[in-house]
Amino acid sequence: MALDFEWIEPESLEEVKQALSSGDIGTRIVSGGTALSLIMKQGIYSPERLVSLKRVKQQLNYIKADELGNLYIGCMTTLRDMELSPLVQKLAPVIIDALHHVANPRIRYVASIGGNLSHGDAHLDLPPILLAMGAKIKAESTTEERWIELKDFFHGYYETSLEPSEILTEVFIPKQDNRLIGTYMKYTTLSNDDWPTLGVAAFLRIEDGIVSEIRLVVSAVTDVPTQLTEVEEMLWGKSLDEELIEKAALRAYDIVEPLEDLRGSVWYKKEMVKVHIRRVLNQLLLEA
Amino acid sequence: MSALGKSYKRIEGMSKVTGQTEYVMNMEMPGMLHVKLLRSTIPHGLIKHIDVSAAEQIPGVIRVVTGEDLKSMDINPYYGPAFRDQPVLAIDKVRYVGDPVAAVIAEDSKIAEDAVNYIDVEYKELEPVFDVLEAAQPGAPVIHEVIRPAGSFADLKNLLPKENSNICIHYKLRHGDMKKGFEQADHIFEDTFTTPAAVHLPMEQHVAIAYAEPDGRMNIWTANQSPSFVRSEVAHVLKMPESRLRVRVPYLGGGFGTKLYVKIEALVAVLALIVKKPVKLALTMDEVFITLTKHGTVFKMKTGITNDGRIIARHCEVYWDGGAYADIGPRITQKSGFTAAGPYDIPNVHIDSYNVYTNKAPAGAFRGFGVPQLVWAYESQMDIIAEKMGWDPLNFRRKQVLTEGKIHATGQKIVSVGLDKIIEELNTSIGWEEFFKQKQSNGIVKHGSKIRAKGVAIGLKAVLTPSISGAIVTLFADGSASVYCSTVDMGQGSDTIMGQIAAEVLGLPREKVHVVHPDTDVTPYDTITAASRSTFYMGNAIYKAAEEVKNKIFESAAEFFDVKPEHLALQDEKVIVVEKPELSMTLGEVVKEIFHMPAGSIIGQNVYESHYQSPDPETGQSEDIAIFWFPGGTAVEIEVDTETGKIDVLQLISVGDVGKAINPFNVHQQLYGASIMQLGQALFEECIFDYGQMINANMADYKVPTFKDLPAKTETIIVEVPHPEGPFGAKGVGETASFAVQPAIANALYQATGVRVKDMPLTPERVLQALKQTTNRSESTIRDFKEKAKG
Ligand SMILES: Cc1cc2nc3c(=O)[nH]c(=O)nc-3n(C[C@H](O)[C@H](O)[C@H](O)COP(=O)(O)OP(=O)(O)OC[C@H]3O[C@@H](n4cnc5c(N)ncnc54)[C@H](O)[C@@H]3O)c2cc1C
Repeated sequence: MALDFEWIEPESLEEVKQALSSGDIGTRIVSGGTALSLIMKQGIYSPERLVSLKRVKQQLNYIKADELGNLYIGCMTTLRDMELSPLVQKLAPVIIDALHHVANPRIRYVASIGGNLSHGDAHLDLPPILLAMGAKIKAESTTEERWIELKDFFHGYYETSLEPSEILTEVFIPKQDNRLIGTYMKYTTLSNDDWPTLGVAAFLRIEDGIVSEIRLVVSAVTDVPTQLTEVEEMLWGKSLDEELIEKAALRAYDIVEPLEDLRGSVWYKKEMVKVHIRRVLNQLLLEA
Repeated sequence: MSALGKSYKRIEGMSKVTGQTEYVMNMEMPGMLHVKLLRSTIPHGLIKHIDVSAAEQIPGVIRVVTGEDLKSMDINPYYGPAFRDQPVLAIDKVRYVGDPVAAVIAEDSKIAEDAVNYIDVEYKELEPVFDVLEAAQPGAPVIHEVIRPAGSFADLKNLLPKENSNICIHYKLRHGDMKKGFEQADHIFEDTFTTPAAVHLPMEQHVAIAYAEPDGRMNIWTANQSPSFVRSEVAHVLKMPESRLRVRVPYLGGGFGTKLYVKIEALVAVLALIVKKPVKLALTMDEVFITLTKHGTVFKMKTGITNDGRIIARHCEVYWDGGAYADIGPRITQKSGFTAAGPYDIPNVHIDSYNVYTNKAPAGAFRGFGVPQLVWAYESQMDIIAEKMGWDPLNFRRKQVLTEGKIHATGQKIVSVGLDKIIEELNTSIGWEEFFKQKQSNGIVKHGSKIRAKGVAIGLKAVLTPSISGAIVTLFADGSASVYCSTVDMGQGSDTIMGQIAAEVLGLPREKVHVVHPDTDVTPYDTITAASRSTFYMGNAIYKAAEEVKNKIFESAAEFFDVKPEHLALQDEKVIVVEKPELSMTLGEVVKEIFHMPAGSIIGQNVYESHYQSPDPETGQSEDIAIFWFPGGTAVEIEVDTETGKIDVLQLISVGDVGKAINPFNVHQQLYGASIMQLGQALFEECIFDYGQMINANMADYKVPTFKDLPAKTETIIVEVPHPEGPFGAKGVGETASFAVQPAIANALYQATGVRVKDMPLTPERVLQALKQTTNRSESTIRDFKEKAKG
């Protein structure tokens, strides 16, 4: 861990952006600090300057919905705030179910949604869900303000489209069609509160017995959350039955190329993709 | 009134949960310096050159010490409980990735940590050896050229190392006639079982402070389970009389074996001598991983049985992966080694137990002291045999389990070992009989991809023998008392129990007895706080010391009342004449009677020493190898997901024979804690090495069980078969519930799926792989739940 880094606590969002404006990679934001402290301890990152969002928390901690039912979540909203939010419960219940199984309450009380996404770690539970829901994030700097679709956001291990000069200020989750049912399956191979070995987010709409919408995202097995468009295409416009589900699961097995790590070999992770795609689809079919 | 058998709350409970408890981690001294270590990055090699100049120039760095500096000091730079094979800092050679090579002493720990990066080491790499079986072969790279027996413990005197080999100990047991035994067998079973290295992970890391007084007298405060050994061993290193060394140990934030013997204490003491200031070394959690592990094992087991259900011969070959330094491995190899054939009455037993050096982090004591690795093998094989022969595995055990008066493979007659009772408790609590009958007649029922089944296993451990515990009990003039003992309260609640024993003898309320923490200037010698031995050994010493106090009180009171001491009793903080209770005096009055003033202390002391007969070096036979034996058993119900291989333990039942539960709540806690700790060992805990480097040496990648991993139902059951020599009949309990968890789960998996996994842990991937390799094998006994519903 580097010895001397500067710690600053700007009083306004403007000052935060100022602090980041040099675009220097040695400067980073700290929100909850739960992820940052780990990579600092492991020597993966040594900051020169840390910009705490502590004093701007008030302003960046909110969960709002517009009259259409779109959700807006400020970056300093903690995972615990989201978990307990009636608005999220109403508009995105899949998130609530998933949050119950993220780390433990101690972590959820401090970890923020902004940090969760900006961290760019494939082993997190929210990114695949938000990706499947078509979420986007707002990135702001002293010079620019832009929206980035989550599907374009993750680039690799700890790599996102955020520039070092940018802060992620808000997450936008579009209103989901009422007829869409969704679920998230988290699978761990070590302790049950571990980071996922595999995460599968799925949303499905069936009209007149025919799949009229399907979104399937896997995470943790690959370096970025991956939407299985090929598998989705197999299902669109079809009548979902056991046989088709099996085909979809096998297709997923073929196309997902997992990375081997301490939580599983390539072989095993492929197997788990197959099993969980099957389970997710079976579950949604049952609920549809 | 009686303090015995009462579930007193932990006396330190409130102070711990309110953050008031003193730990070495929080201790500071004026002018204290901090240490950080540079560790070897290669598994095996010679140190050609170390350049510390850049690090020493960093402001705030006081000194960088290396093995070269040790050479010029008048010290014994090697230490260890069995062999003095571990250098204070690497001297000329490194033996594992993580071996301490240099120590930076600086004004604060951050500076020291930074400076470590500026030390330049040039190595000449040597061929390493990582696999325990390869390392045991002749011709393998030799990790220690010389081996120096330590001679500190009587039980290790007879274990002589093999020169020029990585086998540092070969323990042998020969009982009966192997050849004849196998000839008489109707069936022979041969299996190999393995366990991996794993770690203890106490919440508090290893930490120590050393300070040499101006006249050179050394003080050490350390988070260590064996203060008396630290004193004698560091005295040896420093070439000081033991009286010039003072070791103090406050509460420990957990130990589990990783804080036994000398870990960082010799190093901090040497550094304190060099800089003449207090120095503190606190390891990081990541360093704890590579400081000590649990022995990985390879156990080759061959068993001969007869058609009438008896084990007639058993051949055990156990390899203990000791890593780079022997630590206490030789004792594990012997003392656990001699239990390798299981708690059964087997006429012909042959055990070879080898402790082998490899170029990995050193292995040592881990709650259970090697026994869980052995139980894993023998209890797995019990079920393999029973299944093959079509026997009920529990009956198969009943048929040969060691009962009172039977002769163990070591030659010792078994006394006070309630194994038969444990088996019955397991049977009724998990509902084994019904389960097994149901399975025999209807097969196993599958719910979707999930199958439920039950499994049982038992184990037996011999307590560390010989060993010694000394205690002093002092009664003060106001009728309160203190107990002076070197037992370390590391979370197991020993302060509570030790005080309870003294209170019981003296007829005092528990609150009036204080237990003084280990301070080698004050508290007498004690072998170690480990091996489930303290309640028995130290309990006995305290019991007898308190009796001595009681006798002195009675002597004086008898004279006062003009009765015989036998006519007196202690009750409600008074001495009473039993026949005439109106004749009584308070303890304060007794003191006044003795010293003719209301002051002074009545002192009792005792050094409790075990009897012991050293085993024959060729046959391992001894009629008195352990002062007591303590058994434990586990029953589980699991649910295995046959598509993922993941096991969910639904019920975990631990049964232990503790002799007498002095504090039942504490006993339940010990049984519970040990079983949950083993749950992680059974299902996913494992150190993963890549070319000798432990690649999951951090808590983000090495996971331990959390609340979400707890079984839906856990139960702990106490069996009490009193031991004639135990205090109030008590034996030990700290390790009891650790023995049998792993095989109980594997046996349940076997019942569920017909799949036998012989390697620990039962990770989902390993289980799924085994399931796929054995497809169809067990289909006949597994029926789909849906089918049943339909039919
Ligand atoms: C023990 C443990 C277990 C965990 N288990 C799980 C789990 O099971 N599932 C799961 O999903 N997650 C898990 N997590 C991860 C946790 O969800 C993340 O650590 C957390 O969401 C990160 O949020 P934070 O506010 O603490 O981020 P920080 O650590 O503060 O920041 C993380 C990164 O994001 C950057 N950053 C933070 N905020 C912003 C912003 N507004 N704009 C731009 N950059 C920003 C930081 O500079 C840093 O690089 C676990 C974490 C721990 C420590």
